[in-house]
Amino acid sequence: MSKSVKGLVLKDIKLIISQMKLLFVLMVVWAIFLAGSMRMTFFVGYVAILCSFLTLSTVNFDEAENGFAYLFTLPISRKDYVFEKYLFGFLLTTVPYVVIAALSWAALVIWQAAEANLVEYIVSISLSLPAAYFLLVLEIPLQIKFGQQKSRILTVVMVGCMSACLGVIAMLSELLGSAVETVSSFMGLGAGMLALITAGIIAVLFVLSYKISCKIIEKKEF
Amino acid sequence: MIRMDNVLKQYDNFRLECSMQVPVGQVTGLIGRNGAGKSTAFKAILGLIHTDGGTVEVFGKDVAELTQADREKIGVVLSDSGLCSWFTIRDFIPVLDTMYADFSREIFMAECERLELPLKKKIKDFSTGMKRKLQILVALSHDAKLLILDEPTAGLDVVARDELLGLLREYAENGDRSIVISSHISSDLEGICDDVYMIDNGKIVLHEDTDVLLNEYGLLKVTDAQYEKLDKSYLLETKKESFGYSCLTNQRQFYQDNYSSVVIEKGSIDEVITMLAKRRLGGKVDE
Repeated sequence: MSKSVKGLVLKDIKLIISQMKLLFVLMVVWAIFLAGSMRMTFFVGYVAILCSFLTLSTVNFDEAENGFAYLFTLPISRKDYVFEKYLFGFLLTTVPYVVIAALSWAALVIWQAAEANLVEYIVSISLSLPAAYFLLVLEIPLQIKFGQQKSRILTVVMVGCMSACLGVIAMLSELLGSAVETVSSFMGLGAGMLALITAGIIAVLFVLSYKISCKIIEKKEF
Repeated sequence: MIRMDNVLKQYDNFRLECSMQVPVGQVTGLIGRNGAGKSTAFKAILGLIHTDGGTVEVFGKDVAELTQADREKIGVVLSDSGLCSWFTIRDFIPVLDTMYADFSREIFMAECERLELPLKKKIKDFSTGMKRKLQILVALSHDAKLLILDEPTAGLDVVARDELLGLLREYAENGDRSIVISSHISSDLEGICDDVYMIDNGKIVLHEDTDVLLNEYGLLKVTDAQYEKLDKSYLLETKKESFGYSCLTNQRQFYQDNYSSVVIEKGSIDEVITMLAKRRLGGKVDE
């Protein structure tokens, strides 16, 4: 990792830490879910989507008060900046997802041991991560292109996306067990192969989105 | 260090056409009124805007081809942009330490303490002067070879301004470093710059060594009768006044020697700006 990308990752980590109130709210909501409905799969999806949303908020912070101008006088190329956003977004979505998924599984095992089934659990939470990645690859170019001025509209769109994603995840997670079986048997594919194909599609989307974002930022003036 | 050749940038209501050079070891001032094009020129030098013509070279390279290592050698203060205001200085130190090979954490923290900048307070809660001091300290913190400072003293009180100009003079003493600086406060530039460019309406209208400007330029205040008899060969600008005429010259000594009865004021950057800018504004001027 280059010095500039490392510095930008550090900056974004500090930025997220400075917004700890939001993370605290996240933890409280998680605790409520934990103690209440036990719908862990929904909550794991919620964490993934919210974390991808946090990445987008770092772009907003960078742009605030014409901050891009100063940022690009530091030893950072525009491509470094875009690359870091995707890297940071990937990490910020994946790491909390894995941690919360593990904790949620542990909670299930402790409090509902009789109903805990690892394979079913993994299948039921497997859709939320690609959904969060999809939100990321869709929104990063939009955020760079339209910036803070149109962020209110974007926020409405994103909240809509989040709700839609969560709704779809909640609905699909109920049906997913049978759906995976149907698709797998229809295409003659195993669950592992489906996961690989999904990972491939996500990787292609990341590359495409990154290239689009690079083009957008190269054209911008600050 | 910096070379701008016929740089052109066209906006809807403004056009920058600018050529200037900042040699190694020189402190160059860029003066002009609000909206004259100073910030646009700086942004062109920093590659923050795309130009429509001409070339901008920094360290002998096209600005678009500057590497990360090249950019580490540039320290910048911008008039309309700064560090993320949600951070504290303490948050920023590891970021700067990672990005700049020559960043000195100890010196930076000591300077923050000396300039009474709190490390744990969010930058959004800083006063304008504190924000400015911080930007200048960051620009000076990583052993840059080139400082590009757009209005670095704006918002500072007299004491803080003197303090910071002292820092810049100290920085410039090392012969291989250059500074290009803009300011509305002409005394800042008179005290520190080797030469000055004046920009007006996007064009460079004057380039002169500061010593020449201060020692050889002058403002003649003459009555109508005196004006009639005056040799006008060395007058750069003339303005009609209630008492007669104000005339800007770059040959003050000539008029002092030959017109002992004429009131002649010593040249200053303020006089030059006033006289040259009024011409563009359509002030009554004899050509």
